[in-house]
Amino acid sequence: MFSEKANKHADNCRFCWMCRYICPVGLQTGKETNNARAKGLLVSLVNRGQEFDESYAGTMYECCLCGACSQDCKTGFEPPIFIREARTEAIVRDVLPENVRMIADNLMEKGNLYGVSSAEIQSKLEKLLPNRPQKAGVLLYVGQTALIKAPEISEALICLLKKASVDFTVLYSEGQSGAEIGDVIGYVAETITAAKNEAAKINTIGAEKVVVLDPNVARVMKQEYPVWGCDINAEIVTATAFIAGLIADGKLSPQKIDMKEVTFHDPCKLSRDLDETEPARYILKSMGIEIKEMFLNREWTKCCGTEIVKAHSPALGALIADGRWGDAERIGAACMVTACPGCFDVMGQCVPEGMKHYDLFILLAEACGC
Amino acid sequence: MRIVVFIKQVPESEDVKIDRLTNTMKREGIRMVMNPSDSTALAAAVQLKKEHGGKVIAVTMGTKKAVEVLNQAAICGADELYMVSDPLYAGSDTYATALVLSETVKYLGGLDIALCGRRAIDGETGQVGPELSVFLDIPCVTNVLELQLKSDGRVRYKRLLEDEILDAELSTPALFAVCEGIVRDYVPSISDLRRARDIKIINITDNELKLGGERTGLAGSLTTVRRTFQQTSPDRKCVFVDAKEGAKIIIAKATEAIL
Repeated sequence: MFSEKANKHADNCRFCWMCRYICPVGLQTGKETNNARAKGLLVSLVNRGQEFDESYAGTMYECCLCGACSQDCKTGFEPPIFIREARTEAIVRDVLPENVRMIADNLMEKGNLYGVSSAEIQSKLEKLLPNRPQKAGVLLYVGQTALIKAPEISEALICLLKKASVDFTVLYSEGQSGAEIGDVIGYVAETITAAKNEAAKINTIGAEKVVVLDPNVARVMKQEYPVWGCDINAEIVTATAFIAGLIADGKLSPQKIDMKEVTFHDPCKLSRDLDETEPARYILKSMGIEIKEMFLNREWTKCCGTEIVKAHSPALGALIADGRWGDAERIGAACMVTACPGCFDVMGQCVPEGMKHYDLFILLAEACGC
Repeated sequence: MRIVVFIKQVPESEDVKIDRLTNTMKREGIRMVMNPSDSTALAAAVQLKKEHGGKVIAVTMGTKKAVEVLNQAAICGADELYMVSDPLYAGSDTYATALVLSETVKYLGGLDIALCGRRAIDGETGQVGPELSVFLDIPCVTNVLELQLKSDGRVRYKRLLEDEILDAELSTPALFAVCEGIVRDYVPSISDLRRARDIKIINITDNELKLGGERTGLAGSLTTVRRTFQQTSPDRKCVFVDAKEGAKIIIAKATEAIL
């Protein structure tokens, strides 16, 4: 059963199709089911008595939830609303495809996409910041993707914070922020409970600012937490904005790096949902790096494919990432910089021959002598 | 504890259109939703159930399409769902509607707490709740901002008045017409959603209530809608001026009005 809001958006999407040119999945697969309109049509068919089976469910997970369709829609409809509810429906009806079931189980049982134990997460955080302070003015929230898949990014960021003499700490253990579980099972009570628990943990630190490395997590904390009643008693700041601020204040003085033909891939949650496009560019400029902009940049960025799609459908994930690399090649870029642990992991799996891939914080850490 | 929640399916407010020929609301092709303050009443009922136990019984009266709001009620935590619908009841005004709903309550075996929204966004009369309480011979509290069930079984409530908030309590059974948004909408869990799929909607017709056509529908209605029309304003003019010019215009118009 879909909510009234989901039904309204699905019923309006189902005959439109105007956003088909912007879907990063559909552009790569060419499948009619891989665009927002098809998913709206499936939802409306289910409401009219069609059985919601495993193939429908699978279609709903062939989506990055990147919001490009919402951005493109001239009438204000948002397909991610009904796509997330369709995912909830798939779980309720127990018709999840096996590959998705595995990551849903990981999230519900272990609290992360990868099935890593909480003890291991604690160990990774301890390794990142041994003898972490119990209290600090800034809490760095690393996120499960950075911790497990791209620890080098979190190491670089911690080095930068130390270099800038920021009074910061990390949590003893990070659980579910609500970002990944919300995208896989929807915004149900389980997601909100996990988010509330995480918010309570964050509040024990008493920090004035929470610097969030993963833009997907930052989005959920800034936009969904207030709706869910998860109160964080601190300002939520993206890592890119925070670091850009440190450079502007003179607390970080990066050396110039000689890099040519560089392009920057905007993380979709950062540029589209959080309206943040310039801090990352400012950071690159502070290192003397000039950017060639790809087709579909800033709020129009084309999603890399996301960690979630990569986790349940690696081949599809690689295909979507390949599409973005194609955009870089078309403008003659020799290297791509990303500013999100998920983008770093996803784009890093299929770097075309002759091209290079960098993370923004790792580059900056080198430029600052970390 | 039996908590009966009365919910109504209404046109989504921005979709209201008037048929110029008949002066009635057009319903074809209009998106229908759960009345917003009824949605809050439902959330309040589910919250009471979670805190104190009992059962939430959702009742709606309308056409067959109104089952959609009962499905929504199941997702939001209702335990039993009742659809009251009979051709005899078509065209019922608030009085006839309240009569039908009161008989439904008696048919279902009574209640401890009745909850409804303070008014529906289509009719905006706010009459059904108080009329229902009269038929049920129970006290009624309207414009409720807050509800708490105390350990002695009494209900403590806060009520919105014109210039203050009344803080009082009373014994059950009682009816509370709640204001919009006083309780955050209930977010179901996966198991709630699975449970909701298994709840059957029970239909209640006049075969069960035995009211007959004279006391219900148009015949049983004490009010008649003579005309429905959209208030239109005469042509207006808008001129942008600065503060000084604006003051001169206001003084001139005020002087003109006085003279």
